Amino acid sequence: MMTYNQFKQSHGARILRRGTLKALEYALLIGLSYYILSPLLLKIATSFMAESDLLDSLVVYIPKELTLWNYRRAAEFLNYWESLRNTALISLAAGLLQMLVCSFVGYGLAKFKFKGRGIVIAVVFFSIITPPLTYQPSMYLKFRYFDVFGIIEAVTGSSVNLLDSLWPLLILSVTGFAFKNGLYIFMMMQFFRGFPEELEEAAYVDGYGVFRTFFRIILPNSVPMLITVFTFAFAWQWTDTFYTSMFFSRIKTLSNMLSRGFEGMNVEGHAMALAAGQPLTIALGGTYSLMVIFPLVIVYVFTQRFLTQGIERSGIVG
Amino acid sequence: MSKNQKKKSVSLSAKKARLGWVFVSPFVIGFFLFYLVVIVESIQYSFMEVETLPEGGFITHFVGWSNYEYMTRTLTTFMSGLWATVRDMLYSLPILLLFSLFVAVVLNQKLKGRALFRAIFFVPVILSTGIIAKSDAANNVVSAFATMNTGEMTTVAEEASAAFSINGLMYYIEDMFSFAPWLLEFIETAATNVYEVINQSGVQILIFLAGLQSISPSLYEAAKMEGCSSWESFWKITLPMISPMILVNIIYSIVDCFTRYDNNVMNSIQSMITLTDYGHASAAAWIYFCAIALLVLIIFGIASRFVFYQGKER
Repeated sequence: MMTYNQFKQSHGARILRRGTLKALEYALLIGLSYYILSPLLLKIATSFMAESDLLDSLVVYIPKELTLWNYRRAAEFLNYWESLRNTALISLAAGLLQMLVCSFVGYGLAKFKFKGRGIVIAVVFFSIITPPLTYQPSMYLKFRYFDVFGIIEAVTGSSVNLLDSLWPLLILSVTGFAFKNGLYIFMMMQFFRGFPEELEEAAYVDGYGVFRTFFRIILPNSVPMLITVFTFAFAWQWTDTFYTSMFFSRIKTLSNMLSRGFEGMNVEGHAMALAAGQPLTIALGGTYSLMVIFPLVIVYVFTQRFLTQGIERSGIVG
Repeated sequence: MSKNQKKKSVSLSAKKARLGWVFVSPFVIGFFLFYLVVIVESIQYSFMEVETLPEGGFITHFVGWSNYEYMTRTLTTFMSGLWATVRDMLYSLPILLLFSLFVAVVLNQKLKGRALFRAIFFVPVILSTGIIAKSDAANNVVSAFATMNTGEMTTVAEEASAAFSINGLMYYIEDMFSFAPWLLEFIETAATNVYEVINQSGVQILIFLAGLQSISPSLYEAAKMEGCSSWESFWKITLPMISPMILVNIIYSIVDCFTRYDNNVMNSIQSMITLTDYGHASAAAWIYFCAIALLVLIIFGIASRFVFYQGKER
């Protein structure tokens, strides 16, 4: 017979303990996942239903006849493929630019002492705090009659209308004033402040300049942070309505299309066009939002994979 | 130190200062190009009465502090809404941080299906901002009116909070242990807001994950060699190394609480803008802004003392 103390230290007990912990972990993760996914589950279920199933109160989750009709009609009516291409391009450009610019600015704030640094940090904070809503009208006018300190008007005689082009977004991204860029700058600043300085000093000793050090040494060692900033910038540009509705009235994007919705769509077998709040309208809207979410999740999984590889490749500081 | 060397080091620091400005220049240019004008205009509006003309365009005239007086004295709902938001934020902040750090630590471990779980925990980031939430809300409002049956999102939220609406249990706890009322309220908020906490913590989890992934595995290996248990290495390695990101998450959570699309004060400001009541809207926005700034400043000041930076002292 084993005493309790002997049992506690035995191999079997250790396995048991670890197994219980793992089981608890999985139970928690699965429970939370169900919570997160539950609003989507119904959407996924209804997206495969025919209209007869939507009206049938006996059908909740499992459709009687599986159909891709919703996907086909939603893609067709709201120009899915064209919008997807546009959105992907815009988000990619915004994501990459914001990632680079914000880490650049964040590095400057973290590693260089200069007069006025405190003020710049304060401005970063202010830009995090101000809700975008408060500057919407001014921002719109700014890009409708775009000018750099009156120079353009002096040269060409009039200001430029930059609406319905990629320029407003690119300009905002390059200057670190696009959606939530203050947060990214702050994130990168905090990260670089915790970055050991030996690495940079070693690079300087090797004759690297500041910029070369930044691009060749610092950035490759900041992959997890960079990827996270990129993910945020990409995902929020993907689902953004604030800038897209302000800047792109003719460029078709996924969020523009989804906010247009399915009202007024003509369906065969219906005398009248679809109205808001009808089961079919909701089902189509849900289907389209799934079609918006799904590519994003794939991109995220892809970047996570890239991330784990990136760490192995670059070798981490310590 | 000889004179020559001193001169050299001064010019070096001057050079470093110049380089610092080069690094932050994009942001500074952006500030002068967009932000400053916008801020100044908004401050101007807050001291003016803006009247839109029926034929388009608008006229303004200066009214001094009256917009501010209106918001703080006359419109009592505004200030009480502001206080309620501050209180809610203070209650939910610690819960949000603890929850997101916990989930991030779990998701950073080696476990089967990690990629899948991470993908799932990314979903709230997509759902909480932007178009998906808006499109759902729009459809739900209409269908709620049409069928008097709340839409799918609210149903789930209700179900979820119903599962956790534990009035009976609360009564029991109150009876069993004589907890302080504030502690009880804190626990109750935590329990009833589980659904919201999960949905609001997506961003924080990702930020923490990035922080955890940046910690060198060699630190943990060294600690293990020295005989540290994983509990000890969490307190001695993980927590200090992640502390800069805790500060980021504190600031983000505060700002997010204040500027979420479902925040009452934000909605009242937005409705003023929709009614083209720009004067009052700007005044309200500035009062709100100052309140957030003050709170961020205080909490930032307190929290900064506890943050550890691996880089050198500066």
